[in-house]
Amino acid sequence: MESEGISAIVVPLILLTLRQTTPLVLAGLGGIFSERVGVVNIALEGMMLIGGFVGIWVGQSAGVLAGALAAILSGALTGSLHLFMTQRLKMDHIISGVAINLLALNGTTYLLRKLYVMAEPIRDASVPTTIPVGYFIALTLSLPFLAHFVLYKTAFGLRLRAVGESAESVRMAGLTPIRLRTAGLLISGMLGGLAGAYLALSQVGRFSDDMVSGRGFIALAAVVCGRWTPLGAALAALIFGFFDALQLQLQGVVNIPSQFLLMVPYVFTILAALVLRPTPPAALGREEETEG
Amino acid sequence: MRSLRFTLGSLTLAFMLAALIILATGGSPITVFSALFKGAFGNLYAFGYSLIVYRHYEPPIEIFRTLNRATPLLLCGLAVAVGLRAGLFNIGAEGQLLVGALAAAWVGYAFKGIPALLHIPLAMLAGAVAGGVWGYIPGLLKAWRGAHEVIITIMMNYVAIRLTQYLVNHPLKDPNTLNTATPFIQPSAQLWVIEKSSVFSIGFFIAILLAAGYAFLMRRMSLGFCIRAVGQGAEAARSAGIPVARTLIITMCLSGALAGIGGAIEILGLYHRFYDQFSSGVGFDSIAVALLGGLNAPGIVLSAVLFGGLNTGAEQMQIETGTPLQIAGVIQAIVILLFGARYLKRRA
Amino acid sequence: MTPSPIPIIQMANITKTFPNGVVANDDISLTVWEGTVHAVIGENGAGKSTLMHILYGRYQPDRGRIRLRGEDVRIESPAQAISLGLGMVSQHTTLIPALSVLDNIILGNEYAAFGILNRAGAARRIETLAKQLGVELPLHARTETLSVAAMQKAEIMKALYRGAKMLILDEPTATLAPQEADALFRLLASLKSSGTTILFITHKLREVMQHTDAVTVLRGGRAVGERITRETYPEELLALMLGQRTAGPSVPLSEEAAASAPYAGIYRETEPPETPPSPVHPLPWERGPQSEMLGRPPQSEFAPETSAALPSASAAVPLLEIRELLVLNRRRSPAVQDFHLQVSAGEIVGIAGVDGSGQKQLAEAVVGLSPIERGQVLLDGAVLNGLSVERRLQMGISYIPEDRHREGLILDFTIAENLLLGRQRDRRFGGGWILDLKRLAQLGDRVVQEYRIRAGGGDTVAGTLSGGNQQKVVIARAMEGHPRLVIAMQPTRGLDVGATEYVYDTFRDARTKGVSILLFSLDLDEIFALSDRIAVMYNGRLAGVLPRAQATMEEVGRLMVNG
Repeated sequence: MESEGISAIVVPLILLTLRQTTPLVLAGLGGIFSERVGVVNIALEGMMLIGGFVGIWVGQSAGVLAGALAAILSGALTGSLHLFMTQRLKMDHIISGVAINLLALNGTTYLLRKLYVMAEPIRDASVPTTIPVGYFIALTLSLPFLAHFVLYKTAFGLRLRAVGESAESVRMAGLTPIRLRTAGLLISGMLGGLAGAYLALSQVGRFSDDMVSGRGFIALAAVVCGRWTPLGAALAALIFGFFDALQLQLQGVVNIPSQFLLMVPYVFTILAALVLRPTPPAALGREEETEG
Repeated sequence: MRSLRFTLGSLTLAFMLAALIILATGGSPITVFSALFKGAFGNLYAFGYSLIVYRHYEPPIEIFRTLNRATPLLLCGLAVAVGLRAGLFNIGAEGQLLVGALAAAWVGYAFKGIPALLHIPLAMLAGAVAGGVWGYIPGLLKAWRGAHEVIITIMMNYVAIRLTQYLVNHPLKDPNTLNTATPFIQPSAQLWVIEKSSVFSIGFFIAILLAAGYAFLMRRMSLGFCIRAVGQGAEAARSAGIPVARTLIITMCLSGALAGIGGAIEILGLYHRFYDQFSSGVGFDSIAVALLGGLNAPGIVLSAVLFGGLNTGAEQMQIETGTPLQIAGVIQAIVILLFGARYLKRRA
Repeated sequence: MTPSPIPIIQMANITKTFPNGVVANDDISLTVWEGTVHAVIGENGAGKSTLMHILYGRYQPDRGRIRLRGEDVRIESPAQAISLGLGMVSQHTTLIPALSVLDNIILGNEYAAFGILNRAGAARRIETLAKQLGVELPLHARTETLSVAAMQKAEIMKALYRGAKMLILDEPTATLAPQEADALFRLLASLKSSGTTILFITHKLREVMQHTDAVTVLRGGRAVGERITRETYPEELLALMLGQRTAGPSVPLSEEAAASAPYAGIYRETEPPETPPSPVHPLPWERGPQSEMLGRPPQSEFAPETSAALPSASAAVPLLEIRELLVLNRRRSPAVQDFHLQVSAGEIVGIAGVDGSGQKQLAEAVVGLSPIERGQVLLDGAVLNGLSVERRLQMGISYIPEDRHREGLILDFTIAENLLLGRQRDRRFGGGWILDLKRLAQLGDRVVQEYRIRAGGGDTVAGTLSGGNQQKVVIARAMEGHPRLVIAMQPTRGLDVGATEYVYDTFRDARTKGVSILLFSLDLDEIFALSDRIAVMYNGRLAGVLPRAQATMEEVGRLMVNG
């Protein structure tokens, strides 16, 4: 009887943890592929929003799987914009990221209202069937290992990590830095878009205003706490996801203010900066000559 | 002159891109923009007419609403600018504003029976100190542990959101209301109201004063000199004997304090109590304000008024034309994209 | 070994002008024979490095041709250079500190199947290669844990792993200890015997004479001579490197030669003045009521705040004393050790040494930019350890940094603002909080005039000035504060003759007023032209101190290279 009681709490908590962890892991891996090639990516939030909106928009007419594909592509496109701004126009990576986030938040909300909420007749920004959450959870459990394998065991990964340390060294070794940065940002955008697709097409099956609500920044926090490694970031995301799930589970049950549990990722990251002193890739955010 | 042309050109380009979006989504840019303008600055034609013909001086109420909106944007824009002048990216103005607002609200309602001349400065000071502390932490971590201020200020934003949310839900909640809000502040803490129906107070003028102070700091003060030196050549500044780490910390405190005062004015001048989520997005909008304003005081004032107008006008526009107000945010984002590239070229 | 008759590398009429207008290579031609060791020598700024980077495809020449094994080639990228059999070991390592040695070696040319790295296979291949050459490398260590010498070996292995038949080394021995350099040359010898052609840059004549087959001399961006090593002698090479300045076989400057040299007349002033100097150039406002009210002797805006503004009368205490100094570099190994030196008031001490012998760390330790690990630095008997740069400046130590663009000036600032750096809290500019802009503008205009800076006025932005005028601003800032000690790093690097003369005059002028100068320079002519005593640094240690009168270039050169 008692063990049943415990499992009645624990099993849903585990499931909820996985559900809350999934977008953080996907976006976090996206952050790693961008930052590991030397591009600061605070645009994850925007990539997720755009991915979510495009996913629903395409998913409504062409089916949810096509929607997910479109979300991934839209993420890659957003990544290309960030790439263009930071590498070709040499814009500060933070400014570019802020602008993309602002554009994504306002743009998706604008389109949502214009095309759905305020449209005549009013349409619903939702899909009738969702992609089973299990698929995404399977990705969440496997992609960190795949990313680890790619980054540390393949020639491609070695080159990606190298360009994040020094574009000049990579060039002297006979490689073209800008191609590697492009590859990294495309992968980053695709993962960001996929994370958005999960939220919109799988977890809730609809798009709503600001539905990412800061998860992109929590994913970034996971990247920092995980010291820019896929497995580390996934672990940090899991911890953050657990506290989020706990907060949801405990709401109204126990008298702990949910705000303190919601604060965990942020406080954790600040403490990590203080204690772990995580060192980012050496070329991160630096202005370098990457072309020619 | 060239920079003015660039500014106007970029703004025009941003509006043109927005017009394309409006067209593509089935609206009429001319109707939308004229509604936007009227919402921001009122019927200026009628105002001018009554002013000239009847000598009847009464500006449209929309202008006051715009200036109300511009006030926190101006102060947070100054906060971002002071950081950028030192080469620091403070994207935590939002959090600093929130803690500043809550601190001012608490001083405003908890202290009773003190004269306004004491109460108001005290509450503003509380806002400045709270915001300053919120800036001090990332500044310290930057100077001391090399932590990137962007990451830390983002995290501090969310901590501020959750912390203030908790405080107004629990210990500081007004027991007599269903709202998640603090009690109303004492009348002695309220800023003097100039225009009643829009609750336009002297807060805007305090912000203007602080903008003048920012200009004075940058141009005439030794500290401003250090800030600029660190921002434009940290290596040379260090070699020549400028205390770089100390300057970075002071700059972040100053930046946080400005945003904190922005929060305090929101409470003392406009809302008169702290509501949960009374403010959102000011932190990021203020980056657009600082960049568009070219990091100098008159430019920041102008761009704060412009974006304030854009925001209030957008609300009116949404009501009149059914165009979602977020188009204003889209314009802001495009402005950042256009201006950010220029900002860095100037630094390099 | 007789050079084989096949020219493997031919560079003809190479010309390269950088966007900033510097002509780095001016019509340089170079021929290297297969299987030889070929040196490219010249002073700093002669264009050696640029030429090598052109050969490796890092820069594109504006004009000129490159032929490899008799065939015309265009080398547009390092990737192409690698495929043509070239390998390069840069002066500053291009290895990535955070990666393992193995990963650095294979980067860009990975040993992989279906994209998956075969690290074990690569390691075996590298180890075989290394064994043949008698090299040992910790392949799996993080590169940042390696010594400079080991990193260099790794760079060489990286080139050989890519099948390099022609190896370019950019100043490989500049940062090596003698034993390490010897080991490097043994490695190069065994590479040569296996048929590799080696091209290396140096400015050490001993290395050229002992380890090369042929040598090309560059000066001022031009090739001024090409010699078979055994048919030349060091004096000839030195003369070629330095040009007219030391023509003739007698390398050391004799008194007669000195008297006829362009710097004639300076040697009479080598004795420190005995009387303390009086304040100089009193300006109208300095005699104003303010200074009278303060009851101080007239001072300029910049005079040190300490009461001991003038050189101390007691000869027993040297102005600057460095005792048993130990300074660490970034990797926590000693950059300066067991260093001791005394400088009297009104004395110029030249610090000679090969680039990277610890000069920068020594200067920074005195100025307050590098922490002192052990030992003491004293000014007038007061210990400076732990004091801030600003405090030391107030005590009278000013600094002329090496890199005027990065460390010396803030290019977006006006001349006047640059002059204010470090004195922003000086009470003469407003007392700490509010700046006295009027006085600052006066200072700027006066300095522009006095130092003959070609600018409209003190409000000219520093970035718009020419290099020589920018350096004048840096020097003006150092000299204007009535300093007691000036630490000057390469004060005339990149300046033309006129500007150089001006700097020398300024220093000599300062010396007559009792200012001491610690002059760091890689240019021996400069050291000899200005110094009262010459201290030589070798590997972070003091190799010797010679009075100018007894010093010869030969002896100083020997100390620089051999310690």
